[in-house]
Amino acid sequence: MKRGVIIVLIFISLFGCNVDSVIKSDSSLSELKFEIPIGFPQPHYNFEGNEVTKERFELGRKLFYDPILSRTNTISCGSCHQQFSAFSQIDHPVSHGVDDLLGTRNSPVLFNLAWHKEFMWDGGVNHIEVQPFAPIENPVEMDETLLGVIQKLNASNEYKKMFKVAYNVDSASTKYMALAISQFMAMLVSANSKYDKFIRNEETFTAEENEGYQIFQQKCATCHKPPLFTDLSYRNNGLDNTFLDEGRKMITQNESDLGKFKVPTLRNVALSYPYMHDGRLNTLDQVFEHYDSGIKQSSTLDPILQNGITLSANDKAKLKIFLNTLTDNTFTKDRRFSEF
Amino acid sequence: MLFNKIKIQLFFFILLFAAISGCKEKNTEAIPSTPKSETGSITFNLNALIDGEDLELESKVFLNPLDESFLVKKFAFYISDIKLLKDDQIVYTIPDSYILYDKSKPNFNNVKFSNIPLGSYTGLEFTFGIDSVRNYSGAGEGALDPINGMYWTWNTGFINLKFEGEWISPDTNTTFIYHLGGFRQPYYSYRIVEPANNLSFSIGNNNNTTIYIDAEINKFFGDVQPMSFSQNQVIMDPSSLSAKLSNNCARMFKINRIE
Repeated sequence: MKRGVIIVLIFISLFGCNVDSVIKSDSSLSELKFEIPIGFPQPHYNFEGNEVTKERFELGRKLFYDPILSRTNTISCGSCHQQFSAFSQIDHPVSHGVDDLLGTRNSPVLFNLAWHKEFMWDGGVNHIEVQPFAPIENPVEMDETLLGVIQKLNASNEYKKMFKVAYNVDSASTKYMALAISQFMAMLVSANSKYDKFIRNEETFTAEENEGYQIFQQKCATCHKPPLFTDLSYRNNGLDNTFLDEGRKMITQNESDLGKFKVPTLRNVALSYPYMHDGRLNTLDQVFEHYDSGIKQSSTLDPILQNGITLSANDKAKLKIFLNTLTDNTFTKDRRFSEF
Repeated sequence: MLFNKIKIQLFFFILLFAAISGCKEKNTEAIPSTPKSETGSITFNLNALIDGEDLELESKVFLNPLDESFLVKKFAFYISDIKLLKDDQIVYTIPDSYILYDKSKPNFNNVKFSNIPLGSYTGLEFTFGIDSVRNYSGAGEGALDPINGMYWTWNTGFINLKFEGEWISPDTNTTFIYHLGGFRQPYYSYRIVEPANNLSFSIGNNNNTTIYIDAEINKFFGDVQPMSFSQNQVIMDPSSLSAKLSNNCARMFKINRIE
């Protein structure tokens, strides 16, 4: 008898406070932590004041997929950032917002964002935590006010409870909404493509992949620098000689930034068509064609591209084979990141 | 035997204690408190004027220095980084001293800061707007919550001043919208305001000190960079003009009184 009581007491003393979390635990998130993949540099975002927890991640994921963030309650972050295409949106040259309004830029892929200092094609957003505010308030994206979002969140007991559990606050606020969404976004890490396995000596490249890799290193890697496959700089890559979209100049007001956009990552590039800041090119072949023979001259054209990048038919074929090794199906199928 | 029994009972009690105490609220770590006798508090009360008269929104028509008539629909600005001086030297910087003045949200315009070192002071320095560091620091709250509408989301950064209304000319009324913001060179818009150095106030441990600061809107059209409604009615980007107008705004402030 006494032994039974003691065992019960031992159990209570060990688990008494965690009964809730034991019951709710989602096994796929039990080991949740941010890990720096082998060969990656230190991330720019270090989760300071936003340490990774299952509850914060889950809140961020729920917000990411919730159309409540839009004025019409119809558009979520996930509408334009879909996991199967590495959180971009295929077949949509530019984003589609509320009331079928069209944006001016292509939805970029979302992963490895913890290594980015600035966000958006023009780098206008300077911190991952304030990134979610931009699409929410953009009149052709979600077109909601921050006040409206917070009121809707606080009208939901479920959300209030989740904010309490995640951040120990009694109601939702822009700060903790932003922290939760940015925690989810920063946790999206893609580093398990065939290329990564090749680099880690876990898999070998075929002769063609290897040839493509050599061509890539010679002709593409300056701007699309591994391991992120972007050097995070802003460049004019010769798409235009007059600029309806001024790009980086809109942010810096600097004439020398006219027509410059952030170099996109090439990870998962085969999944994330169409290409360029306005989604004007549908296929990788068109992209190769552009760099080979389509460069338009202008005062801010990147010096590297003055004469284009000569690519033979063989170069293009092998490059495409190499770029396919950057597809990370572990990431696009990772249940932790999915809506359902 | 008896000893064993005591041991078991003791074990029993320890477990019971663990079971009960284990469930106490977490996060009970004590907040380090400065002994009351060493610090006091200070309140800043901000008030907007036009040509010395109290600002009234929507209803009242005012004149700017060029005799242009206007009425105001929105007037809001930030001051930050408040420093207390003694004999022209900075002796204390109030941590996280960000104040949003917004005529339409009176609860913001009177802000109290605690933990101010006791003593006598002779001057005050602060910044018009929000400095560059805070603009790179991610999500804010309170006065810095973007929900207050003083934030650009597409080009990260605080709007240091919003001044909106109607310019009333004999023929027609024209909406004006002036948003001054930006923290990047060369068109940044925060400014260290010339310190007020001839003050005399003390922070005691039993009474609160309140500093009343006036912001004279007509300085916007002021003497550093002349500005008129006819010249420009919309400013919503960091630009050469917005940077020059920020110089004007840095001259808006005057200590009205200290109580």
